[in-house]
Amino acid sequence: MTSIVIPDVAKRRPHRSWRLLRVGLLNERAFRIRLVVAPMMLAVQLYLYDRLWAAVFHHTGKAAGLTLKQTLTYALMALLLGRVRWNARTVNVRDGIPISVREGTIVYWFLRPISPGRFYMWRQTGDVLYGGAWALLGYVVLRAADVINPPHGFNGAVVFAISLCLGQVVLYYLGQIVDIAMFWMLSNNGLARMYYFVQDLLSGVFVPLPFMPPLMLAIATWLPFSSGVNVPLSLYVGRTPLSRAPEQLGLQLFWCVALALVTRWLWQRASNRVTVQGG
Amino acid sequence: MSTADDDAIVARELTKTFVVARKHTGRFAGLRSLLDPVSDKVTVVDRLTMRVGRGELVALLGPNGAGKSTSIKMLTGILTPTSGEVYVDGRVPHKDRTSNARSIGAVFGQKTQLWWDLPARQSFALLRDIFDVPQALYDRQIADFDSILQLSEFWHTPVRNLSLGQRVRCEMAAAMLHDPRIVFLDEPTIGMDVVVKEQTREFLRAQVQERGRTIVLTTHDMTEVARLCERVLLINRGRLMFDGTLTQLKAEHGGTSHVNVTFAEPVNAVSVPGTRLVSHDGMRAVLAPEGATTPEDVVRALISHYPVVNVGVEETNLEDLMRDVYLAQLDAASAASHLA
Ligand SMILES: Nc1ncnc2c1ncn2[C@@H]1O[C@H](COP(=O)(O)OP(=O)(O)OP(=O)(O)O)[C@@H](O)[C@H]1O
Ligand SMILES: [Mg+2]
Repeated sequence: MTSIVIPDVAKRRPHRSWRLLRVGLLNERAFRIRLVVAPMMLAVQLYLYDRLWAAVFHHTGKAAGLTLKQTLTYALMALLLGRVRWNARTVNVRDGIPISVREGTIVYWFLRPISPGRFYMWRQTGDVLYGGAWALLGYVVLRAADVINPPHGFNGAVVFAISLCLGQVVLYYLGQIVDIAMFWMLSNNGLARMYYFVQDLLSGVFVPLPFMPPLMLAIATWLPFSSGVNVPLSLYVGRTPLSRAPEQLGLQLFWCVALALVTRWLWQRASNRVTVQGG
Repeated sequence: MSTADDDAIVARELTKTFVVARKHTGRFAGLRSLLDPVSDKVTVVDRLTMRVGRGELVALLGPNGAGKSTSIKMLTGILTPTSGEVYVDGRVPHKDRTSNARSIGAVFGQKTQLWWDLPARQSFALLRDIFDVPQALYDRQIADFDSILQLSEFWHTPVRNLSLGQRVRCEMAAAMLHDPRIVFLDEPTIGMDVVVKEQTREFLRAQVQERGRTIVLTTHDMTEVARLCERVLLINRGRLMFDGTLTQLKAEHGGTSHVNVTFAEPVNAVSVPGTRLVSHDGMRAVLAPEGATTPEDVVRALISHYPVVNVGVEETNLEDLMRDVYLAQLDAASAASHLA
């Protein structure tokens, strides 16, 4: 019947799926204008925040236990951190979960030799690396202009780096839970946006957490959001002394594990839902 | 009994029942639905038993809502059957999804698996990475697909800018890139013009004859079926109504031809022994010979009993045949429900 020898691909294990990392960049390149708009938006945001906080500190040297320079460091770096997951918030991404579920193209996720969760992970990681590159660029520029403080020595830098990574993992899982929820609430763009507002507020992206009223601060501290932004940045600016780093990193680690378990459970439920109810 | 490693697809008594919430009506309907949820069970695929051999090209036919797409979703492992057995390439598709993914490819006509903002060529490369297709095979597949489907004319265009026919061609290539043994196509030719349809048929034929793939496709285009498929499976209301060749289907459902007649004046009742009256509106009537009656018999009988001004014999086309079959099944079903 066939004259050509077809290599048997059926037994190969997928080990090149990591190359999905590039989708984020490809998507971005498809709209070249974004490559110009992204840094412009970032520059405008950073400039406005810088002016805002300078005005707040006009008559005072210290607020909420932070100096102006510390506050600027926190606030501007929080903006940069918000940038990291900019594209990873998949509300409007064509190959993200919300749109794929709504349009039914999610069925193809279940027709691949890698699990939907793995596909999701590579896609997200690609987006985060891309966003991270912008954030890093912003950081380098702000440091060069001496708008923000350097880390507290070598130890400070290492602790911050670890805390930053753990924080990204926490945010990754939180975003994933919101995405998987779409399997049940077919179109809840509004709810997702609402959620992200709360996340940004309680993680410290909009306003450094130390400026929050005590009750909100207490709530925020006990929720996972603060692990994403507030914990690493408080360590960076010295609001949290390095001696308290182990406890803070432990808290972040706890959230990573807990959210990973929740995510896993949700994926099982979600794929059951697809397979029982129909794509 | 073996699980039939020898057959590409085996389904036994495959059934899918959906539970749908019944909507309350009237006052406080929303609240009552919430407090007192009532659900109905709808059986969409009903004890479907079928086999498809390797290298076969089979059409799954049936009216809208017959359960074709649902059957395909079970065969591809996306849906878990409510009951019954299914083996595809020797595996239970919904239990072993990741290995199953390597043996099958699928196109769901209206849904794209291509990356919307990227050129199709990029999507192919991404699928190559996901399925871990060796580069040599990938290059060969791409060249092969391009030679018939002429994809290179537009594969550098972002998918969102492709015409429907162009996109579906890319979709088909994407589904077969990883060299699956079995391919499921749910209305793949939707929105294609005649030239592209012919291209697609050639492509599918080549995939079956030269590459030994098994293809199951659904379509509402009967010309497509006549030109492409040896065997058809007819589903209606989730049940398999017919399994065989088109010629057999024609034979079973009688009338391969119709007699069209025009009268000189309105006629109240047209009745010719050995025929079925297909339609009648005073001046015109269409009759279908049944059993041993030939069209010539009908013409003779008409001329001798009625004021005929014009009469012609017309071979039934497939569309009409399918309509007759679907309608006959509807009648049979409602007769059965009256009896029950
Ligand atoms: N998830 C679901 N929940 C409830 N009912 C469903 C679900 N999916 C499909 N159905 C119903 O099952 C029936 C069969 O649907 P299916 O999509 O299989 O039909 P089809 O034969 O592919 O029709 P078409 O030719 O229109 O594509 C329809 O009546 C549909 O409304
Ligand atoms: Mg369908």
